[in-house]
Amino acid sequence: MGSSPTNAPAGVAHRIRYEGEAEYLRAAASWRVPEFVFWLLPIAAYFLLPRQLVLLSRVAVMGLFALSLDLILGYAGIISLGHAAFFGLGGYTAGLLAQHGYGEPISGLVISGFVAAILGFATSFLVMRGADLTRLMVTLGICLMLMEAANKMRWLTGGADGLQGIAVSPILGIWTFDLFGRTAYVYSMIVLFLVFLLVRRIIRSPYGLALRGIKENERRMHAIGTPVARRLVVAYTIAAALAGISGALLTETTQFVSLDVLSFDKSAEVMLMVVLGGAGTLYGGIIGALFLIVAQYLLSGISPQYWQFWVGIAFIALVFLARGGLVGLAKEGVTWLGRRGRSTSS
Amino acid sequence: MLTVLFDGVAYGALLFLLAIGLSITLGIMNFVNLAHGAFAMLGGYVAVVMLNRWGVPFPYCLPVAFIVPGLAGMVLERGLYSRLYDASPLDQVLFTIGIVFASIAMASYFMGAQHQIIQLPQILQGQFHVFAGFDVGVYRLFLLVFCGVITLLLHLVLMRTRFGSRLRAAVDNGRIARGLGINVNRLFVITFGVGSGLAGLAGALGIEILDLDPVFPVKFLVYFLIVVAVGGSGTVGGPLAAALILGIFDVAGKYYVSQIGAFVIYAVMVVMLIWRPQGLFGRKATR
Amino acid sequence: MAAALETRNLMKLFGALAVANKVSLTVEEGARHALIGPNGAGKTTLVNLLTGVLVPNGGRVILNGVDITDEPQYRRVSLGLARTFQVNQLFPNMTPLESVALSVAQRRGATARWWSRLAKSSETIDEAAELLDRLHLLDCAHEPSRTLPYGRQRMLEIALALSARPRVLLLDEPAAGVPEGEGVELYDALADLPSSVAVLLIEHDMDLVFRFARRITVLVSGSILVEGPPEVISADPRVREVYLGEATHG
Repeated sequence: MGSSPTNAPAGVAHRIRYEGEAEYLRAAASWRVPEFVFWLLPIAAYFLLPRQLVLLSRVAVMGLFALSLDLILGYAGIISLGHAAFFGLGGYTAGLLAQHGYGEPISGLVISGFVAAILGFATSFLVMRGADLTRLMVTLGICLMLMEAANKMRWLTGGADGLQGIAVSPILGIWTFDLFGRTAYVYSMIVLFLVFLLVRRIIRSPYGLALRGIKENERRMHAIGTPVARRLVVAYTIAAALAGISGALLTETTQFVSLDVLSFDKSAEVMLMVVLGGAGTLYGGIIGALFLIVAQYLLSGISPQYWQFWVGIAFIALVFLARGGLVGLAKEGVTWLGRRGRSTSS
Repeated sequence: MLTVLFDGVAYGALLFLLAIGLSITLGIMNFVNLAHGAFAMLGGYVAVVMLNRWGVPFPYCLPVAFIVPGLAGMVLERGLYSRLYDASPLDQVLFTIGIVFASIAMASYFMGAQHQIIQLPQILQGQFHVFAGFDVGVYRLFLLVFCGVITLLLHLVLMRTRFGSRLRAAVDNGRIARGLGINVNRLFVITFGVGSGLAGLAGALGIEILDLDPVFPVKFLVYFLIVVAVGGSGTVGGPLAAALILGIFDVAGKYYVSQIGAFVIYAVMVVMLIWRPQGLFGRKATR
Repeated sequence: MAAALETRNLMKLFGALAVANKVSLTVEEGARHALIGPNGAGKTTLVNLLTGVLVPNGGRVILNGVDITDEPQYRRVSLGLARTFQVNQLFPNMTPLESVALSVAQRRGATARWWSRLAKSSETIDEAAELLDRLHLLDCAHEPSRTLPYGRQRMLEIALALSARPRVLLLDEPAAGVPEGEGVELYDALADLPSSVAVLLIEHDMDLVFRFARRITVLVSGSILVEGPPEVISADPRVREVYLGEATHG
């Protein structure tokens, strides 16, 4: 008994009486086997699918983008119709840096994330100010504004043609971005994993619990003394930063950026990924991104209108049929199998 | 300058007609229908087909542009929307985005991606010169009068009829309204139908002014949201004022400062949000 | 003896209706004070005014000598004011342990930290578990709150308020909807409340009120009708008149 505590006065060890409960929470928060398996997959893919690395890099980028949206959508409960604003801002920041001679990729990510965070912080006060409808309006409006600006400032952004002449330097001076996308793939997967670790840490922290509390019952959160607006501003800013990093990652790995990174379609696409995979499940965004991008690739022969139509149907079907997304279905499947196993063995 | 003002008012009137359905739907069903623009688009395309392909005269197209989206709205409301009134905001957003995408895809497939062009009847074409600096487009004048009449009708129905008072009761407190024996479900269907119909009518009226194309529901979504968030839900006056302000600022902005003209509405949005987050008339666009 | 909680001429208008009409209420330190009145008298409104959910049109609210009228909700909690809701306000998908741990962590200022691990915050978890134990909720500590029977949910509601270690506790109809058999635990929990904590209890259950309260305030249509010890109140003919036709809930 008596594991060393977090805030005990010096020299006095707090005697932990409820070791069982603490142990239960620790077990619930620890890494599970399926998670290890999940993160071995990208490594396997590098060797087993060498010709699909460009596609899989995109999965990593969008997975990161979806992860950033899940933080505010799945955990804090903020619905944003314009999360692409941060994605696009990060993308253009990295692109402009590279275009003007600053091609160092890793610091490019950091700077882009920082710029997106500033926008996130600045707009968070507007987003928090209203109820759901106002939030939808503000988030949509900010993204549209940014896109309009990017479109008008053709001298800076290249307009619909996009930024030309992006030259990204080798990572850490050693690994150049090659034509087969090998460097890009490893780079984007590592960034995804590191950000994932960060988000995981946030979710498992007291702050993460507070975010969940805000989503589940905001009124109660006020009543237990939480400055709710402050917590949400932090979440929104972090999510903006991470979205900015994912946008920058896209620019760096594809050496191109244009207006579609700021579009409403992009905001809707990432929302679909999060909900398809399962909001609030940490892995949902990445799984949703994988599913959607692979599906798009396999169905690339069909017309864009057909695709858009079925995306619309997917949104509707998700609402009525699969509330928890793919992860939710998987969890139900596991429970169902468990019940069957028990009934057949008894 | 007066021309610009006049155009702005006409534009605002059109925006009002477009958005009023959304405002009332939000007010009584507490449902954010992001797909509202799809009904407007439907009305617009119906009118286009009737005018261009079947040669039906303009005055006959308008009622049909009201009825078809209205019916579609009622069917969808009973079939799908009504199941989601108690659902989470996220579910409602996802559902309506789905409808938006599906409708954009269908519009693009059946009608093509280009802006639709129609021939207005002779009597509505042209403009007359009132005095220097003030030209009044005939069609815009027609729009203003038409929308004005409809607004008046709406106001009268809402304030002077039994249906209207039942509607207002349902806005104020749905549970109590039900308790008083008001058939709230029937109210919802009719209201949703009328709101969608009005949007369709506005879509038909605004074919040329608003540039009708398949991405219409998304293009104008932010306008609807601003009108309803700023003007409040459940009243006629609030959204009207908001729509007029929005219309005037948008037209004036695009005319006088064309480079940043498109940003003017966003500036309006931000200013309103900072100054009066509860909307112009104090009645919260609740949700 | 300084009052734990005090209001001075507190006013709240909904349109032309005064739901709180110059209410001047004093809750002493360590009080066992009940607030009763017919439905619609404005009792919950008063609690909402005290906690900051509603902003008054006039008057002041003073907590432990500090004027908190302009303070936001969360500040009032950290100054020692906690409440329960008439309709349970729980975290449906979080377990009782998580819910109470969240509240404890908030009190300890830990919820701003996004880098530390909740599972490693032993003191927080310990305190939460101990509180659950005291309220006999430990055996269901890891079930989602929404799956708990109603009586237990009500106890969890109280646990959430207690976890803030308040100096003044506002209980809004804690017995509401609690079936006969499960009421005993509730009464015991209320009786066990520390004597240093001032308790303002809003209740319709007269049994509970007369067992628990040392002082009663009667609120009618937003105004205080009469105040005093239980014997005086129960004998007052005006109180009987106000409750005539109102079945006293046992």
